[in-house]
Amino acid sequence: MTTKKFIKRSLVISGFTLLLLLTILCVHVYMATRPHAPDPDAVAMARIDVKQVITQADADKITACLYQQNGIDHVLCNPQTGVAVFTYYPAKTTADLIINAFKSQSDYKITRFIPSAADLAKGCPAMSNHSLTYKVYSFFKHIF
Amino acid sequence: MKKAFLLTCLCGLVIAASSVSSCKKSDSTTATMTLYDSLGGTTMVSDPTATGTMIEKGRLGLRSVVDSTIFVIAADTSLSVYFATLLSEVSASPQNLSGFTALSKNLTDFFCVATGAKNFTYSGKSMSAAHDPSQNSRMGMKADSTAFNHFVSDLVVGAQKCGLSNQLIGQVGVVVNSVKSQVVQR
Repeated sequence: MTTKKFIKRSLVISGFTLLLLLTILCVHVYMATRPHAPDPDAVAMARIDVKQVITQADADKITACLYQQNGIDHVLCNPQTGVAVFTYYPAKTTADLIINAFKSQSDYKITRFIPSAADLAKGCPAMSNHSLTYKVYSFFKHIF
Repeated sequence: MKKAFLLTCLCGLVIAASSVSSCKKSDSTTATMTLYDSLGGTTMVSDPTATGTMIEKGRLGLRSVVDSTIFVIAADTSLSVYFATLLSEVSASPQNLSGFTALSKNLTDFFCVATGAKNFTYSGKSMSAAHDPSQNSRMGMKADSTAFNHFVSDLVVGAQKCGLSNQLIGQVGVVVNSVKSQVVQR
């Protein structure tokens, strides 16, 4: 009788402890992975496709115009491909704000290139998405 | 006479020892001089992209080349398809990195290790596994020689934009070409 009681009590305490630890783990993971305001020094990249033939002079104009926008870090426009890429500070602005401002200040026919989710999944192999950290992060990201 | 002889011997020994040690020093310096050292090595300088942060000069040089090359690749439609993740925005991951920053960090780590840096590690897959679609689902298809050569020419353009000398570009090219057989798998 006493042994049964002891086992029962042990099981209850163990279960309670496990539940408590699991809750703490969940809270910790949530706190670590919840959306944060971007770091002031963080930069992101965006791409504009120019829907017309452009020359080097056009590329220089596009570059200069993009550099005038608030929150721009670096710009490169390739006249051969008609693609302009730029990095910006997400803490200060968004790619859409920059592109809208650019559209209002120039006559170039442009569209923002946004890769599909499938394209993003086929990114550079140097960025492994098979790491344990990435898998744990993705798991909890889907839960929350 | 004896004293003078002993003194001469002692002087000779000291000169010989110092010349041996100086030879040894210069030999070992030459032998251990890596491409990373040529780019500035472990000398700490302030990081122009992160206020109040210091960075090794060698890493800063390599990161500049990597970032410049990333821009060239992102604007090159024949290669940008492999690098769509560049355009992902700052994620909510613990690292708080955008696709651009994450790729910049990983490639810089790779080049640091490949050029002889001691204080960094590359934690990504091996070049062979990373470019094999059966081992890496993010690799849509096997890379061919044309894509590899395109990458190299974009790297040269990126390095030139950073003002890297032709000699150093050549050395970086040697490092990149050393993994060609692992990257090109068809």
